[in-house]
Amino acid sequence: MKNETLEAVEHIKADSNYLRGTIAQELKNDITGAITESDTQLTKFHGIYQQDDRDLRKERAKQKLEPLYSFMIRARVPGGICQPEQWLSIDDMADRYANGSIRITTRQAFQFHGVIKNQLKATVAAINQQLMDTIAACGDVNRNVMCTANPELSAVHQQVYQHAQAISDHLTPQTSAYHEIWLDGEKVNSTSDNEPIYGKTYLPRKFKTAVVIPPDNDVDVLAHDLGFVAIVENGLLTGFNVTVGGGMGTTHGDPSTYPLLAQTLGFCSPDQVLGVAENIVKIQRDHGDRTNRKHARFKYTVDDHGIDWVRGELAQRMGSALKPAREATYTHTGDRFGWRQNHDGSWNFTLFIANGRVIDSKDLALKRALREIAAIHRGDFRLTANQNLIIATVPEDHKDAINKLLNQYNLVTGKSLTRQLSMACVAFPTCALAMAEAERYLPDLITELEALQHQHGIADRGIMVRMTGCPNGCARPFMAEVGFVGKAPGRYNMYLGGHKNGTRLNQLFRENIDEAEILAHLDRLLGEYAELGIGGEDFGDFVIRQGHVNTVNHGIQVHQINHLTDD
Amino acid sequence: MKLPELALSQWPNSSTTPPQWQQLNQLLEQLNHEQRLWLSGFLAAGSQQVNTPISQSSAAPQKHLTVLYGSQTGNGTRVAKQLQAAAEQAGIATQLHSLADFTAKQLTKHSHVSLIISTHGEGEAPDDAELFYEQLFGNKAPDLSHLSYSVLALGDSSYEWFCQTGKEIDEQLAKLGGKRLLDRQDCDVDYQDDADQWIEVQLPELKKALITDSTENNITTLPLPGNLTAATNNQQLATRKSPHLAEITAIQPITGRGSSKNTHHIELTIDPEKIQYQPGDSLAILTNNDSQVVAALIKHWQIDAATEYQFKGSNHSIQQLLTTQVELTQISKPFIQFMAQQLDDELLQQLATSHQHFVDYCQNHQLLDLLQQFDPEATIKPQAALDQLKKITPRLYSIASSPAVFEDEVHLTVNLEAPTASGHYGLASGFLCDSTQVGDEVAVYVEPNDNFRLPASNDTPLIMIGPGTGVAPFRAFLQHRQSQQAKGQHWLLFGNPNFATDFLYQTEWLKAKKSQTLQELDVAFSRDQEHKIYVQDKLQSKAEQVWQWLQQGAHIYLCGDASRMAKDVESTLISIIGKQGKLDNQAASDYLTTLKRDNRYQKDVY
Repeated sequence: MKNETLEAVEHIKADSNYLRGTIAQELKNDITGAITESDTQLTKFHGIYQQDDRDLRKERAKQKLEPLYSFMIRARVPGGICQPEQWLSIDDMADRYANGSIRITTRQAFQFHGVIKNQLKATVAAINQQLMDTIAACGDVNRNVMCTANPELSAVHQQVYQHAQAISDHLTPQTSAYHEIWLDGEKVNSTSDNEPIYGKTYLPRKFKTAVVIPPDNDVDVLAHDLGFVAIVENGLLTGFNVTVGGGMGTTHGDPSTYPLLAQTLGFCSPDQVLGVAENIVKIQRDHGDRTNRKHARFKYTVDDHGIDWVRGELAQRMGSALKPAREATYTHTGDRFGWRQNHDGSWNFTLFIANGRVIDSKDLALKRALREIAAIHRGDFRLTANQNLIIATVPEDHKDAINKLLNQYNLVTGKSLTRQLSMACVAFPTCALAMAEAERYLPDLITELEALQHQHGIADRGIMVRMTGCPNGCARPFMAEVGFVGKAPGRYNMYLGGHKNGTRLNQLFRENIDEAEILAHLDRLLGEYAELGIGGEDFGDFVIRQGHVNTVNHGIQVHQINHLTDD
Repeated sequence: MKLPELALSQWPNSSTTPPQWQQLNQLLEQLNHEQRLWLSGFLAAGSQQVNTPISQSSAAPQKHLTVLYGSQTGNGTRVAKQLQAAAEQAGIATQLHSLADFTAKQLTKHSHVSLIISTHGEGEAPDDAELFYEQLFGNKAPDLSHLSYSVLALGDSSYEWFCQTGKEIDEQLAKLGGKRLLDRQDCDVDYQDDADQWIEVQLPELKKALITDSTENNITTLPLPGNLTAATNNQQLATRKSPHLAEITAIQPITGRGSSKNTHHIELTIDPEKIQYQPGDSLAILTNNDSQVVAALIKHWQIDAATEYQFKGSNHSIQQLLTTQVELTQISKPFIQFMAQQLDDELLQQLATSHQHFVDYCQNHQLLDLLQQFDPEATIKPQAALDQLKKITPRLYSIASSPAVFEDEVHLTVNLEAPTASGHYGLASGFLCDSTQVGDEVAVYVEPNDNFRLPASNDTPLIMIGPGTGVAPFRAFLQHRQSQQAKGQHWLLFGNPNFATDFLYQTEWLKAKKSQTLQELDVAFSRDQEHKIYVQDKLQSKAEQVWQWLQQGAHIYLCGDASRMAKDVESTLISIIGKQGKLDNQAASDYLTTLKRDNRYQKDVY
């Protein structure tokens, strides 16, 4: 690839001295709450995004103040497993350094918002002290490795989870810049820095890996660049199907961008997992498109070259081909709410957390409740890919104590199935990419939807609704039965026809519509669904059968539509 | 500027021929008062350079009145000039000197001296009088038994050491043998009436002593300090008596949400013919009292708004007096003392006797609060109160813009303090930030500040220390320097409670930094960390650099709070000079004094 056509970010990475840039100096620059433009690219690799309060941008410009800059810090939690003492300190950090809230992400990580520049170092240090880290939580590297959270699969889960942890460790960047900048590590002579897997320009784009234990598909494995599908035979983990080339991100109005579902590459034994992961990453490192960030995800590398080419490349790099994939079926992507018992007699309580936001509001002291629970909890916590929280492996004799707190804080009240399945990204006011509201708006829209379902007598049906403020797809909206992707304040593209088990993309149904139009369409479609839905037919299947959208077999069809006049 | 140059080259080196004298007189007739003052200063400065005695023309009088002034805010200068003008009118020859240019020893050569001196902070002399003060109280103080003198002391009775410097100098002059022409006059912030009277009373005495037939028609004036504005049409310039009505074109809060401060950027559109200013000058705001406060006071006294009362010698309706003439927002110490005499109240006694209690109380109380709290039955009648109250004074704000950039605008940086117990704001700040609207007009005039001026050379580096609204004049300085494409380096030190909300004009400074107009920008946000950090701490942490800049001829400017910040900064400067220059404390202090004398260290503190 010719140098002059490379993306600017590629030069920033190349010139960064293994992700150092001028971050250390910029942290000390106290006349601005921001860091330099190129450093904002580099801090992502350290798990830190520069943001600003977009609600206040105009007001502050008039006040002759710079935007109210703060940073989002993402802490990696491989497989989403977190110990009670870690929870307590995350809770404390949220108050001490951030805006007083914790966010459980759609990829089983913690996020803090509103951390100001001079608190960054202390926050990152505190996270590391709790045996978590933030490196590679963002940036053009392999990010937090996800794993099915369901503790009911305890024996197998433990094994699979260890693979997820091992993949995470294996693909973590090796640069000493992270320790040097954030943890006052010794300054290392840069010639001794080395990235054996990534090289000094890392990957062309972000890279996401998930490990799933069917029939659960809570992690939406097919939405990932790289997936490992646990194959369990007779209660034993025999290996993994390997999936490649899934991803959500698109750009409005750019038909060369589209979401894609991952394809299955083959089967690997447990001892091959790290080799497969490393070599898939290297294939993307060497063949991913570094000239166009909108075309740089691994999904396009796979789509452009074809799955057979990937198989060949991997076989060449590993010395042998993968075996044929085994049978794997998924039943659902959602979580199992409420109390459920494990085989060993311990209990789990899965708690619905609206859009993953843990905060004390005037109606619900959620953060405080979880702090009190963490203080007495003797099991662990699991962050789910649906932004919920499992209070996991509660010993039988401790269940009452936990349950008492859940009741005391009013956390056991039933949520509609539709609300339980809903998911939104952060969007306004902090996310720089947001074009419309998501987290702050979806709960209200769900309330409207619940009312419509009630009106049509189908209040007991769960419809999977996901919303994002931009087409990058953090809440995986293109997998939803009803997806909303922000276009402008108050306006969304509406998608229909995803499958609840995470194996089918949806299709654009209406473009750039406002709430009134959204509700009018939903009203009509739900009326139809109530009347014409067959048996337990899911809403996503129904809208396809009725011809409101077509079945999407390839991501390019998500925006290739010919039904926009359907009324 | 051609004319002075011509005069400078010819006057001192040639004896005056009658035609020249005639020409000169013709010229002088064309000049207005300000211009004459300026010219005399210019000539005197020039003549000193060539070792020619000052204004010893054959026509110069031997007996004259010497008017001396030490002034921080310009009030002293103004009274001095007023006295000079009145004396001249009465036919008395005068010399006018700033104490910055006058030594105690020089007193021996003058027979009649009127001295106008202000007091600052904790009873300190104004900067320009510091050396004179030291000399006067030093071992080598001269014998002044030949001297007749009068002293007018300016002060603010809300400070503990009211008119202290004036009192001390008055006593010291007597101690050294001087004879008082009349008793010292102490003036509070509403000094004008007292000053008028002081001038009026002493003129007959002076006339008797100084006027002889031969001196009757001569005028001698001596230099004014600083570079006076070469105003072309002084008649048109707005003054306190004839202010300019400026339109308010912007009222923009510039502290962010959640700030502990409430600072506004105010823009006024002015007529450049009437409002002429330089960076460093202040704008005086003349405004009426809040009508709600006036109504509340009338209600308090349960009187009719139209009832006439007497205030400072004239009768008007109480409504009018309270609205336009009486100071209502700032409580004076004498008034508290008066109330304490009238009412038997322990707390009131405390306020009257303890300065700290008084200061704390005045932070968030105005006259209305005071009366409602201590005299709810209104036993103190309106006339009794009026007899003790002060005249409303103009409020001064350091101008935050440069006319070189904003030809017909004046920008101000105004902090609106929290309202008092009864919910009322400060006089001008409340008017500008709260009760007025864009499009309204406000009466203003320029209050020049010759003690706060950009250096003559655009190459001179500037260290500007301006926390809080003290940053205002530096916005003007930087704008001005930018418009001149000045090569001199600029260093700004700013401080306020919180970075996120209180970094006044942040985007402008960042832009100036990026464009390299501003080379150094240091900020201290006191409440952003556990231990408080102030501008002086930032200064200290860059001691070496401060010293380097000083070696390169930098001027230091300090603007803002006088009560603590200015002192802390000053002692930090002395400590830096001592350490970096390897000087003991006294030598370091002298070094700073020298900087002051050379106009390289200037303050505008309040």
